[in-house]
Amino acid sequence: MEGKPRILGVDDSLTIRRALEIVLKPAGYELELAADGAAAIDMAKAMNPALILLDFILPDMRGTDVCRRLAADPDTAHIPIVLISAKGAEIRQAYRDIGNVVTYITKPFKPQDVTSTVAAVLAEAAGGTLVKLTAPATRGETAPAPVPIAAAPVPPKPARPSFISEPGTARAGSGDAHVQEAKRAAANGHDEVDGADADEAEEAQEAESSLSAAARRELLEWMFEALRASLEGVYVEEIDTPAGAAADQAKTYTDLIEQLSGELDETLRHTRSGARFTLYRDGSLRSLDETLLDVFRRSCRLLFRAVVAGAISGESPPNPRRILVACHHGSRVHEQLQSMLPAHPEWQVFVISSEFRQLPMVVRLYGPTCLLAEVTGRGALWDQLRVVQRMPEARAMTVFGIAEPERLVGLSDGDGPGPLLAERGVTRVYHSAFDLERVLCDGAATDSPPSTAMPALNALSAERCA
Amino acid sequence: MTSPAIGEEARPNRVLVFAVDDSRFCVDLDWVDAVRQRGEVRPHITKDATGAVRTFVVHRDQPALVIDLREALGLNEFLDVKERAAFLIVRVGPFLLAVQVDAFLGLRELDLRTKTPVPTSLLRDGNVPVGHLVELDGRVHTLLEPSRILSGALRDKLEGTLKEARGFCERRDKIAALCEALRREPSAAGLKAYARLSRRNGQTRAASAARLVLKALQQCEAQAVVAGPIAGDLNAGTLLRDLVALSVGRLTGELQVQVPEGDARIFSAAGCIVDACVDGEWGRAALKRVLAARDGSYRFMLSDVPTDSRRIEDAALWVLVQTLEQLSEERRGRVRHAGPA
Repeated sequence: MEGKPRILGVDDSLTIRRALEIVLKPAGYELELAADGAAAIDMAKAMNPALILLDFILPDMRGTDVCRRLAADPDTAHIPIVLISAKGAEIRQAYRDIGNVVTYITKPFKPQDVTSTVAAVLAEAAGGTLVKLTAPATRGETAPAPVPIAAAPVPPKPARPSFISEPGTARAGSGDAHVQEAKRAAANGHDEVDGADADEAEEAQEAESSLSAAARRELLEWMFEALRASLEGVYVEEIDTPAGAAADQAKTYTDLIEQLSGELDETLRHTRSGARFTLYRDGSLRSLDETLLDVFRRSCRLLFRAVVAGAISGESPPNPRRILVACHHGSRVHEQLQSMLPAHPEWQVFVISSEFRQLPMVVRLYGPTCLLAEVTGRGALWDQLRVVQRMPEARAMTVFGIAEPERLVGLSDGDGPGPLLAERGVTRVYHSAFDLERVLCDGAATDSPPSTAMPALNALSAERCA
Repeated sequence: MTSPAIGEEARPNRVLVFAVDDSRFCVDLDWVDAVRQRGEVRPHITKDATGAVRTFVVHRDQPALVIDLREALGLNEFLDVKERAAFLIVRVGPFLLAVQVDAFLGLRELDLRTKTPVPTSLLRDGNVPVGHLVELDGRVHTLLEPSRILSGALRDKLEGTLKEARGFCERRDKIAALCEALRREPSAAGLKAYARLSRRNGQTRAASAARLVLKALQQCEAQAVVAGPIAGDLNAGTLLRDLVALSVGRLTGELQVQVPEGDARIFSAAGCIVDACVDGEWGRAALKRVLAARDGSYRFMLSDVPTDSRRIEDAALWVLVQTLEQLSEERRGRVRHAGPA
């Protein structure tokens, strides 16, 4: 009966075992896992897997020993083995020397590295003989073509992600300690410290020295601090990509900074603990170098976006008093304003004196903080004031009425505006534009919209951002 | 050589001024692709992802999505949807927009060095204003930045519509090419494609006309040979099938039709309908009248037909499709004019 291909994964690192699980089970393989060499040999005999994915360094024995013991046993000699290890000379030697090792995967790996290798090996193994596969030159290559064992080439060293930085910026802290610890462990007969052998540790030191991690960390932390201070509570604007928009919309910059900052902290904590890989949800392993670079890139993007959006600026622009006047051309109010406005160049004023149907559009585009409207009691202006009152801009705008006393009969109840004026948002009615001038010069009225102004402004800002 | 002083001198912008809801807007002339009165263009209807009806017009073989500034400025909630007198065709990134306009008020030179522009408080992606407010002739004008007319949300909403509209234009081009081929050499596959494309483009009458002819063609092809005399009553609905049979059988002769208006004749030369006449009328118009007739009878007589002065040039099947489509359009027009009973 043809069932799912059975694979035995052997690694002492829980992270790697979990990664194999994430990658191989959804790909249709039956996966059993072992954490050490002895268990691996027992399970190989018991379950007769189609393939073994074997970590090179195990707590109780070396991967080569496991391979040899499996090769010596007629029950398991036919099982192809794929070694999993970080870069090192020994894995290449094992690949050349041991017959049942057909290829290897280097850490960190992407899910497709594992699935393509497993598929290629199983396809070859279906032929009944063990065939060595050419080792992947770099991560992410397609499944290699089979070659006879005798002609197996020396696999080239996989490319390592690196950062360009100035020499002499090696981190004196955890990187060095990690290397020293690895060397000490190697001298004591232990090959690996937290999943890395001495050879790997040297490479790690080399990589970390090129990271200038301290400088980058300092820069990121400074950037986060600056961003936090500048962008507290500011919503992220619509941004350039749909995916980015979906991820980031309705978040404040502070949310995103916290997220990035959290990722940075976690990455640095992992680095300090000696770990060198991060397991992502899709099963891919990335080096901490890559993770740091990712955080750095996203931080730069966030900063750029904030600057472009104008959310960060050296000085906040002055908030001009945006006044919109709506009154009939030639009316007394209009004449008063004509004589009054030239005396106040500090005001930003637009006047609508006819065709009042335009009022909602002008309010939407101009966003006045103060609307001075002639109170007519009927007509287009009177009607449009009610439309404007329904718009969100009305919450951040003070509406003053101007009318001669006789016009207000039936509209005002003596102490204040009556219901008809109230439903048009008119907070106060003045009898002449000159009365209003004093209020406008005082500034308090226009700069402080009604009692619910701040929540209303925030809501308006949120609506606009959404 | 131009002196730097002259070279650097900024020219005033030439802007097109228009009115929407009594508000005055202007847009730099460089952005304007065309201005069209509503009567000059035929609006097409499609639906967006939410099922809402969207209109577009075809401008230079490209769809221009009809947009109203009330919607673009987010005022639909407070003001009703309105149909306006004209369209301003402007390009906005990948979109060609047909902005609805109440009236075009002419061209103006706008020198922003002398008029202080005030950025609109309505902002778009990246906190950039939709345009600037300026005062011209004592009135507020909004100088719109066309690339910012659409908000991100509206732009996303229009993406699907644009795809649909582009599909419409592509089909329209295909239909045009197909018509040319069908005019010369109609085939069942061609008619089927024409019916399908026309139906998808909302030309239901053209589609049903093509399907009628196609059905008649399939009936004739099933019979393989014309058996017996070609004759019948008009109310039996076999005239179309028999005209197609003349074409398939490449017959030459005269189809004599007795209709209430008098005697009518349709001339077929090697299967091509070359002419028709009824009551002193000739050509396609006569053919249409014969096909529209409900009462009467017809009979085909083999005879020589002069082809030197043929009034109908196209292939018979295509002529029938077009005539049926016209009839259907006319009947619809009559129903519309008559109104509900």
